[in-house]
Amino acid sequence: MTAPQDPRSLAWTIGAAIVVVLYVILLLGVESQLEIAGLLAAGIAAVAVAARFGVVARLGRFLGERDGLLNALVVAGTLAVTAFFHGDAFVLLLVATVIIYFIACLGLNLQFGYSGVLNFAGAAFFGIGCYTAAVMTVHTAVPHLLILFAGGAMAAAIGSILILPVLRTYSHYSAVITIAFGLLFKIFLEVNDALGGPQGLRVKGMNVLGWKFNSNIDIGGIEVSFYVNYIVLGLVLLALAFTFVRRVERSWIGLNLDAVRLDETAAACFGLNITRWKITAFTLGNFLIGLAGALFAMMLGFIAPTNFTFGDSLILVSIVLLGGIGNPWGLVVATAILIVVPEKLQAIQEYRFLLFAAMVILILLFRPEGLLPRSLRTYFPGWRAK
Amino acid sequence: MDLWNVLFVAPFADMIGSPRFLLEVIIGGLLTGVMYSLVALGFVLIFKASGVFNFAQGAMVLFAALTLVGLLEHGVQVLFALAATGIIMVLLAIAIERLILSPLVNQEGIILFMATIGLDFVLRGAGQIAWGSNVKPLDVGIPDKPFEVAGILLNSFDLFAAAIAAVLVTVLAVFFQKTGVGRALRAVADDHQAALSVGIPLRTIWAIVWSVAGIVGLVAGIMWGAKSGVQFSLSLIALKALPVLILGGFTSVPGAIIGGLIIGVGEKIAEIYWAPPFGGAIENWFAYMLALVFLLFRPQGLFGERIIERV
Repeated sequence: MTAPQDPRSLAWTIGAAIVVVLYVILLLGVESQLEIAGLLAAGIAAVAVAARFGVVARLGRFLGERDGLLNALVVAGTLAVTAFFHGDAFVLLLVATVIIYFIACLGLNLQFGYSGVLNFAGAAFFGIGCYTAAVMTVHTAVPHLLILFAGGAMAAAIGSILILPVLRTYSHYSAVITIAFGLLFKIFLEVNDALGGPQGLRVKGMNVLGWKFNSNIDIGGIEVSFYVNYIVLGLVLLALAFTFVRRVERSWIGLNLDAVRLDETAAACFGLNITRWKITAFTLGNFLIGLAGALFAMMLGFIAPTNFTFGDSLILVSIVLLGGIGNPWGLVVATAILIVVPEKLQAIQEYRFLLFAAMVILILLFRPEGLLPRSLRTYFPGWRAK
Repeated sequence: MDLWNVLFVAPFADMIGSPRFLLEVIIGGLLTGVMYSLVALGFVLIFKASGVFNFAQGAMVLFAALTLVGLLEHGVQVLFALAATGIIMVLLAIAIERLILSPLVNQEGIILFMATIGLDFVLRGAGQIAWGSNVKPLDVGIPDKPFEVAGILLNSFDLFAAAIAAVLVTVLAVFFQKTGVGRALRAVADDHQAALSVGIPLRTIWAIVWSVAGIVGLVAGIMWGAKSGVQFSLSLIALKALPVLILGGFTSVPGAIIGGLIIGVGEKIAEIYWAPPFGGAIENWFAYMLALVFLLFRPQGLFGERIIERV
C-alpha cells in the first residue's frame, strides 16, 4: 500500500510524537501530587483543544493509513522514555508493567473484541502464567525463554477446560461462569500449600544464556536499572504478539471471529463452526495472557494470590473497554492511562478500584465505543472510503 | 486403594456411623443455605423483571447493612433506622435507574451487566468511604441461643432467619401473582415493547423492581450482619450467590431457594466429611466447583428456561 507522501503531515506527526514523549517523561518524572494532578489536567485540556481544532482527527487519519509508522513511533517513544529514566527503578517498573499488561490485554482483546467470548477471569489466566513460571524456574532447568511459552501454554490448557461450560451458555451466564472461575482460582491458590498458600511463591529472575536479567547493567560507567532488560524483552514479545493479533484480525480467521461476535445464529447459518472459532479465540487469548503473566512473575521475583483478584480481572477488562473494543492501538493509550495514573497519583491509590469502576460506567454511558474506536474493516488492501 | 478409601468409603462410613450428627450437619447447611438464597433472590428478581443481571446485588446487601449499622451507631431507634435504611435503598434504586439504566436502554445485556459490575465497586467503595472498613457488630434484637430438639442442636437465630426468608418469599409470591404492580412486572419481564404498548410505565416498573431488590438486600444484610458482623467479607459471601444462581437458574425464584439450600448443605457436608483428602477449607471453593461441574450437564440451571433460538 503506497499512500501519497506528505512531508508536512509527517513532520507534524513526528512533532506530535515528540511532544507526547516529553509529556510522558514530565509526568513520570514529577513527584508532587499537586503537580501530577495539574499535568494530568493540562494533558486532558491539550487533547481537548487539539480535538476541537481537528488536529487529533487529522493525525488519526494520517497514522491510520500508516500502521508501520505508528508502531515505530510507539517503540521509539518507549525506548526514549526508558533511556531518560535509565537509573530510576520505580519509573522503569511502571513502563515494564504497562508493556506486560499490554500483551495480556491483546489476548483479552482477541477473545472479547474479536470473537465476543467474555473473559472476566483475565487475572486468573495471568496468575496461571505467573505460577507456572514460579514453579518451573525454581524446580526445573528449562531455559527461561521456553518457560515464558510454557506459561502461555499452561494458561491455554487450563482455559480449554473453562471453555467447556462457557460454550454451553449465553452472555450473562458465561460471564458469571468466568467470574466464578476467577474466584475459584484465587481460593484454590490460597488453600493449596504446595503452591505457597496465601504467602505466595518466589520466582527466579530471567536468565538467558548467562545474561542475568535481574542484575543491574553497567554500560560505560553508567548504572542502568535491571528493569531495562525486561522492557527490551517485553517490547520484543509485544511486537510479536501485536503482529500476531493484527495478522489474525486481518486474516480469514479474524473475519470469522467477527462474524461469530456480531451474530452467532447468522454465522452458524452460513456454515461457520461457532464452537471452533470461540475455542480458537479463547485459547489464543489465554496463551497471550499467560505469557504476559510468566514474564511479569520473573520480573517481580515474587507472587501471591492477592495479585489475582476479581478486581485485577476487571482492570484488564476496563483497559479493553477504555481503549476501544477490538482496537489493539487503543490499548496503548488505555493501558498507559490505567496503569500509570493510579501509581503516580498516590492519593487515589486506595480508591483505585472505585475509580476503575466509575470509569467503566462513564465509558459505557458516554463513549461506549472507547477512546479509539475500532475502524471498519477494509476489504481490499489499500482501499479507502473517499 | 488408600485414596479410594479416603474419598469413597470413610466419609460414608462416618455418615452411617452417627446419623444424628449427619442430621445436625444437614440442618446447619440448610440454614446457611437459606442465607445464600436470600442474596440470590435479589439477583433473580431484577433479572426476571428487567433482564439485567445485577452484579451489584452483593454490594447492595453490604451497603444496606452498613447504612443500618451506621444509623444505629448514631443512636437511632431500631425501627426508625430500619425504616430509614429502607427509604435509602429505595432512593438508591431510583438513582440507579435514572443515572445508569435509563441511558443504557436498548444496549446489549452484557453492557448493562458490565455497568452493574462497575456499580458494585462504586457502592462498595462508597460504603467504605462513608462508614469505614472495620468490622461492626449488628444487633437488631434477634435472640441467638442454642437449644436442643430431640437431641439435635439448633440455634434460635438460624430458625428465625429461615422464618424470615419464608415470609419474604411468600410476600414476594403474593406480590408478583396477585397485585396489579406484580402483574405489570411480569408483563415487563415477558416483553418490554408489548408492556409499553399497553401503557405500563417501564421506568417506574424498573424503579420498583430495584427497590424491591434493595429491600430484599436489606433483609439479607440484616441477617448476615447479625450473624457474622458487618464487614467487607460480606460482599464475598454475596459472591456465593453466583454459584447458587448458576445452579438454580437465573429466572427462577424456587431455583434460587433450592440452589441456595443445595449449596449450603453440600459445602457443609463436604467440609466435614471430605476434609482429610482435600486438606480443609473446602467450604470456600466447593460451591464454585459444584456450579461449574453442574453446568456441563444442565447449562440452564435446575429451573432455568432452556434457551432455544429460532431463525
